[in-house]
Amino acid sequence: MYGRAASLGGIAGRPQSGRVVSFLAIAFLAGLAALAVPLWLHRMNERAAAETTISSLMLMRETEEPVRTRRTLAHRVLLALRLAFLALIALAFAQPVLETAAGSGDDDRAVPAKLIVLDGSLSMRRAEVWAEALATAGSLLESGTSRVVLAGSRLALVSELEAATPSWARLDFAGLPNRLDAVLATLPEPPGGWHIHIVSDFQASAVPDRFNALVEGTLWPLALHRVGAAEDNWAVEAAIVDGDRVAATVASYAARGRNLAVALGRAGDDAERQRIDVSVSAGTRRNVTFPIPAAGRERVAWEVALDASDAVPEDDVAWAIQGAVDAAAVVLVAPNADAAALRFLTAALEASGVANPIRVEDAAWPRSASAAIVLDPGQLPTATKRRLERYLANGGGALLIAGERSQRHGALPVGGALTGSVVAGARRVVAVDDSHPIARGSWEDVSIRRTVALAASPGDTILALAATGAEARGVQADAPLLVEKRLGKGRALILLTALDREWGSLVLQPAFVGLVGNAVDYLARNPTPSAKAGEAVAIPAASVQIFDAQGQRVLALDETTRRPVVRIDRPGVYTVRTPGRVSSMAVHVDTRESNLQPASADFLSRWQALGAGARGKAALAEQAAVPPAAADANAETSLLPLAPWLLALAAALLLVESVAANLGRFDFRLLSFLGAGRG
Amino acid sequence: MNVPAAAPLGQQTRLLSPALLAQLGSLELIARAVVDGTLHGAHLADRPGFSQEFAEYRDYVPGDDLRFVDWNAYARADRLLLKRFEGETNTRLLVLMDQSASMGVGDAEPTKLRYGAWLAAALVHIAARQHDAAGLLTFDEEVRTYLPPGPGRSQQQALYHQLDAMKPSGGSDWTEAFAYAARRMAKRGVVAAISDFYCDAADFGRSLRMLGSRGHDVIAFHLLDLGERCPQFGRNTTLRDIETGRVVEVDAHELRAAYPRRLASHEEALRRQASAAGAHYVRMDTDEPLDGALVRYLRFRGRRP
Repeated sequence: MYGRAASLGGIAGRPQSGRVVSFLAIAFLAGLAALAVPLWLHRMNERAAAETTISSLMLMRETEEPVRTRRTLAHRVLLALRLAFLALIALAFAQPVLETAAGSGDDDRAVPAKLIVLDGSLSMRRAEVWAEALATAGSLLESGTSRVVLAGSRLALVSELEAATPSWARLDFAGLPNRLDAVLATLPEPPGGWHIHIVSDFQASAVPDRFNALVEGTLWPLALHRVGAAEDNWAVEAAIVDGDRVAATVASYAARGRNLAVALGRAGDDAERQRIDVSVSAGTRRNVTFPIPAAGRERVAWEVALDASDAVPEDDVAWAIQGAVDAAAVVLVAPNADAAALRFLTAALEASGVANPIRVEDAAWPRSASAAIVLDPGQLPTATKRRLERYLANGGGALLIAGERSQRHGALPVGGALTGSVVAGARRVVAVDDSHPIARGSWEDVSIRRTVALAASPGDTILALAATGAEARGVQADAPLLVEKRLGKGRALILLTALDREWGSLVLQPAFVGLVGNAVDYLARNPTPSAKAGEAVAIPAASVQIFDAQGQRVLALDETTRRPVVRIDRPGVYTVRTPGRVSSMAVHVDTRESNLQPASADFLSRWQALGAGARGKAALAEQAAVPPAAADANAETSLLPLAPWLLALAAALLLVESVAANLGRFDFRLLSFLGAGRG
Repeated sequence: MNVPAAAPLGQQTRLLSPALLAQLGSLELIARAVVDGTLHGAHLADRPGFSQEFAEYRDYVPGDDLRFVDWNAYARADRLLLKRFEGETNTRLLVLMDQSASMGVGDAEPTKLRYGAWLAAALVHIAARQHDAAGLLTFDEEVRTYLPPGPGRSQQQALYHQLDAMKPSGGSDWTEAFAYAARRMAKRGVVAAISDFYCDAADFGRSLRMLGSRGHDVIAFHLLDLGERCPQFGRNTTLRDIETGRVVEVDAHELRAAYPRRLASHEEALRRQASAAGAHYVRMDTDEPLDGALVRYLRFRGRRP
């Protein structure tokens, strides 16, 4: 039997619920303690064996010894059955798994096809790790049936394993099942289904905090193949221009302290570099500040470089853009909004730092307005409404936030009618299109209790849902939360919940600040000064050209006209040319890739155990897996969950016990062989 | 034979159930009630005898003893009439009553000992009505009480009192009790032995023959209660013999089939031994009315001169 239960006392529990039941769990120990109950009852029963006084044993003398033997035997058998029943129940609650050698499946059953998911994130760029990953994937490949998917910020099918190269992006396993579903939807499903093999270094920073995030999507038999090992690494975590200085943060992901040299210079210019030596303790961060001259209106890209010569050199450099775009002027229309909602919104705008809100009471809007936010207006004055319509028709962007007044009025100033509120209990937020810049950020802790329903029209795009749960996605209980509408040349984002704690926890979560900031950025078409490699970046204008540091065009004009967002994979400083404006954008690696510590073996065991109950019985028998904690990381084994069998056996024992315990009520002679020969 | 327990005394007394008798309390009253009912139903025939008490006339038929022709009647009626007198059927009754511990076993009322006491009291009552001398011998492992047969009301009361005072205890020694009775009953009489007869059939036969060979008429009342006829034990039950203290564990499965056979075999063996000894064997169930046994007794008694 495999699992931490065998070695450390813990074992994978019910992964679907995220609950861990181990041999040290209270319920399991209580189950074991329950074994004392039948022991005690049998003991008492033996003591309290009732004696019946009769006139004479003359007619019964012949039955003594055989009956005693039979009675003792029946007593022991019943006790054993009852103890075994309770022990099986207790054991089943511990969710044990049986580790067996792979390939022992029945040949008659359909063999699942292997889908090899190769981690193509930044941490896999380590040469020896990537070589190990390719070797592992190569050993899994079977001609004709296997497919390889390179997983980075996007999933891509790879035709030749040798052609696969890791990216600079981050791989987050949280959304992987759903993303795999999207890939598999493009492939014909094999008769035996799919058997997913994930080859990765399984960084702790790549696995979700909540196990449920791995349960979404179709559950296929799963095998995890860990490659590489933890290594010391240091990174420049952030670099920003703060007035007349550049502030950088150096982070240690090492088990030891180290003296490091940090240098600052203009990007692409190795001369005139400032150097500072810092001592970074293990697992800590150090802030470094470099003075810089005032740049005026000139845009300067500053490069902060770390001389670490560590495992991941890509994270040893960061850039800060001096002379970025001023905060957008955002018109705030809130004629009837309550004070609390207005406070929440204003605070979020200030915290995001991307907008300079200008509250207007009438139709006299400043000409420099980059975006508008309309907060729960109810019925707008006619002049203000016409001003908003004109603004949108001319290409402006607006964020419309619904609320009690809007619901009572039954309509928003633009965008359509509201059909009433939907109250369906607490629901969480699911980003429908996570490539949209609005969807960036963590929604996990946001709970939505109430939304208004919007009368949808063609062309509307639902960006986020208030969903009841992964298993209920797509049913009517899901309600649109954030909708994008095209109105003339402009666009409007409509948030269908109120900035009110009674409607949900959105305003209390950090995600709200991100939502407001992203929305303003998106609507105001601000050029993004900084982005992560592989991350979706909003196109700041209808037509954009992006050039890398060497002047090579990385995004052509025709590409930007077709898509509202782009992804830039390689880190560096890019020049963004929009009509009449040139700006710079720094693309960094995601420093979550810098921490090379692997996820816990327990977590990976639970994840892998998910696949044990997956559909495709043929796949179950064929399933191969690697216990991540095992010394031989490449030994191929499969984990067979024993709980269903234990429960079935317990049910059978219960039936046998019932029959055996009540045999005396019937005139059966099933045990007559024990006392044969008497009469 | 079962009737509602509330049946009035008198006309219905031969149908009195043991449960109702158990409520009467007084042994004498029970005996009287049982016997009255029994006699009403039994049609006891009167037998003419040779006492001084005139009974009836009947026509003379050839062969009759001319000494009993009433000549005065012949002179008056010109018919030969024969005078008949009440018969004298006086005899002795000795009740051998087993009061061993096995007679007191059982949750249900009455116990075998109580039922036996009623039976003995009824026999004593009948004997007293017919002017027979009645006596009592109670025993378990040894003879506990012996009241030699005697006539009269005081004897009757003494017997009732002794029957009422019996307490179940100890084992039972039939050989000793029958030998004791044989030694004490010099004249022939009727011996009624009341017991559950958990003894070897051969010993039982030898004991009966001990009295039968001396000319006594012996009737053996074998008492069984419902629990002995149809034992209802759990699947595995520990049984303790109340007299020997021995313990065995039995299985209801096995008992259900084997025990009735063994009981019937034992009963048959007792019956054969009684028949061989010239005795009557009467099995009585303590949940049945007493009258059946008494009818048997009276018919048996009626054969005696």
